[in-house]
Amino acid sequence: MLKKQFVNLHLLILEEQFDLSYSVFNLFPFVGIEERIDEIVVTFNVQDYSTELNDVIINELKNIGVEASVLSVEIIDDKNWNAEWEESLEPVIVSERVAISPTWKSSEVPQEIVVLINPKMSFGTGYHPTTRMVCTLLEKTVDFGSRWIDAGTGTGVLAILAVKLGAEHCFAFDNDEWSVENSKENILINQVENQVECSQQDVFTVELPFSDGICANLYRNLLIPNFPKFYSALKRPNGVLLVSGVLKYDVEEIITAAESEHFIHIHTEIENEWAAIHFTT
Amino acid sequence: MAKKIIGTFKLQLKAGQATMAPPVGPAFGQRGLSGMEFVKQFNAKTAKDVDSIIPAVVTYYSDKSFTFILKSPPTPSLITKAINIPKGSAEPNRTKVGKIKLSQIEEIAKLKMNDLNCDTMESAISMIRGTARSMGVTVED
Repeated sequence: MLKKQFVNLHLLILEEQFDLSYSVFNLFPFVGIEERIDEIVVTFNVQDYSTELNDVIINELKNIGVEASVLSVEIIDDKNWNAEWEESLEPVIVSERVAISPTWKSSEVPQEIVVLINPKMSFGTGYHPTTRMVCTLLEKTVDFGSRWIDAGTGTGVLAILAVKLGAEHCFAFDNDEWSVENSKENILINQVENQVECSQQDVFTVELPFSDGICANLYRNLLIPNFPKFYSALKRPNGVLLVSGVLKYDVEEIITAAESEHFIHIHTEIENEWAAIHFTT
Repeated sequence: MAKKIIGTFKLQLKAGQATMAPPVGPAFGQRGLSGMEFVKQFNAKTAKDVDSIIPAVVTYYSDKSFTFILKSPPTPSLITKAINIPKGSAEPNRTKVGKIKLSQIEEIAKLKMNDLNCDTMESAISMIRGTARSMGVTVED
């Protein structure tokens, strides 16, 4: 994988002028901003930055009355920023039958099915309620020999679990490079490489294979416009759609949108402020 | 026993588009916190505010957990978005770049009320008017 690079532009700006300065930053394709004491750090993708941009930004700020100067410019190589947290991971018990564990802790887990996950900056360790809830729904819905799709696979946890629960095949994809690389590693660790196929794809452009079930731990904005695509890819009747990654406040809207695309709502699980929803075709 | 607060930090990110790329990755990683957890929560909570920059103030604790609150977008961003102009004026006293209705100012004041250092809606409106003026935007009463 080609390592991405970012540029951090450190600007000296008085804190009382932070708010005003955002009308200038909005004009540029930044990735994000961190506010420090009298300092703003603007992060760009390296391809969106050139040194001329420093003067352009300073002049634009000056034009709206914000006095700013460049403190420093640093180039940052992308890496696994989550490494320290990942080292502290403990196994997550999903149910009487299923657990998710980092490889170095798997011997401590008594469950019949253990999904081994070394996350490397991808989502899906079992720590988050959305992952756990879809895992329990998968336990109830995966039939032996069925074919599944895992949309937004992250660490690959759901795809691997589907196969360990008896699915014959799972087509997994994610738009994030790190996640695809990491899920492939986890697929190998779990020895399901003959049954789980993983690739870098965007949910809006991917061609989905015909399947018995789809799990989609995504976001509301990615789920709603893709309900027709999910419906077309599922067997009818009794195809299964498990969606998650949504807040409980958005459940009603999600159910309405899915029902308008002919899905039948079966069940909603809620944990804290998160929801997972089970539909069928 | 209540967990001990270690510190806070503030990020400004595009709604629904946070990733582990900087500044999120380094900000969380260097403190031993799960940035992925933040990304999931931030994107879910800001999914409806596409095209806005949303400030997030993160508080982190001794047990490596964190909480965060979302603030309203910066006032100048709300003003430029409300009247569809790219930016404020270089010479706000002499060159005006747009007009904003009082009703729009009131809407922004309502949105910003919790984040502004003021007690009444009148003072919030007054602050938003001041920002509009400093951007060369005329308020139509």
